Amino acid sequence: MKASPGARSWIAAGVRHELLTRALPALRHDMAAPVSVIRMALLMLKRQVGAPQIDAAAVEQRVALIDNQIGELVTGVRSLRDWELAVDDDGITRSALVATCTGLMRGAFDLNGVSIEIDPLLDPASLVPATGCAISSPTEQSWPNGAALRYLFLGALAHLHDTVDDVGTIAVSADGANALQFTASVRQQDREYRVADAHRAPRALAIDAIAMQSLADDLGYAVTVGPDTVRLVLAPG
Amino acid sequence: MNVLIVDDNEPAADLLQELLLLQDHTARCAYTARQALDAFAAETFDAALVDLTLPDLPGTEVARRLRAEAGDRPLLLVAISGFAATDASGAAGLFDHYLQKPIDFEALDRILAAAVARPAAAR
Repeated sequence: MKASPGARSWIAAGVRHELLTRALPALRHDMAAPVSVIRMALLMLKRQVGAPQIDAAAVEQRVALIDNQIGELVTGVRSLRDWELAVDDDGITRSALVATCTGLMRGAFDLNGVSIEIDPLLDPASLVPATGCAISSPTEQSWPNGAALRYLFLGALAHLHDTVDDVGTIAVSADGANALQFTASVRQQDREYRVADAHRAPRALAIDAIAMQSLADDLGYAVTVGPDTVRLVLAPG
Repeated sequence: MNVLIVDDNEPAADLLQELLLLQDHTARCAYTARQALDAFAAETFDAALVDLTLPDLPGTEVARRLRAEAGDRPLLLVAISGFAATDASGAAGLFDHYLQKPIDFEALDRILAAAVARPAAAR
């Protein structure tokens, strides 16, 4: 049976769901950390206020820590919106896209012995002109549909992760002014610490080239998928 | 027990250290893999709680090196991670236990208490 346009959209939706499922452990990880600190700080706080003599300064310090961690937690909860394909998206710069997605997934990839290397040109701090004044990231072009770009970025990582045998490194580099290039290389022999599998559990649903292409087509972006590379153009259309 | 806490989340590591001190253990924090390896080379630890995601080296690699450094000496290795479900200890054979964040302190207490109760030779 031929796939109708509707069916292709369902394929893309399935790919997005799979990618979000893979991102969830990392999203949860980012929120579990402040919860962990808050729980421990509250335990200590209970002891402090239950002591015969209350050390007001120490209690104040604990409360400030809890307050700070609640802020972290709120940031984490808000970041969940980054994955909603909203109509009114603020957009995202290329370096912010790279920083956000690699920051999110690096831990999960590390657990499986796959390192992510980032082109220094994609680091906002490296965008320093001859005068020595740092250019803040807002001067970078912002690309629309940040959520779509996040899914495509994760799709590119997942595709190389799933389809390149013995992948050891995925390099993310700038390609001109408006694209990203993802390149996989094989694992070095001495890297034996492929252990936990939070990210790469046995997957019936590998992000193969068709899945990657369906995702890009549905979101309206151009990707070029090679045997061990993916090129993603950040401008829609 | 003398416990090495390896976690780049400094407030979390510091609080866990305080909690362990309250339980009559001794504990030291390392916020990076490098610090952990240096501390382990300088001091004898009975247990290490290792966050699996560290900035400078995967926690699994830290565990592997600590185990190698310990040699025949008993060392209780506990993985701590915000990542879910996957039992890193079972998968790797590196860790004796795996605790998910937020840490279940009662479970940690049980693990440490059991290790303390065990004869040294059996640990």
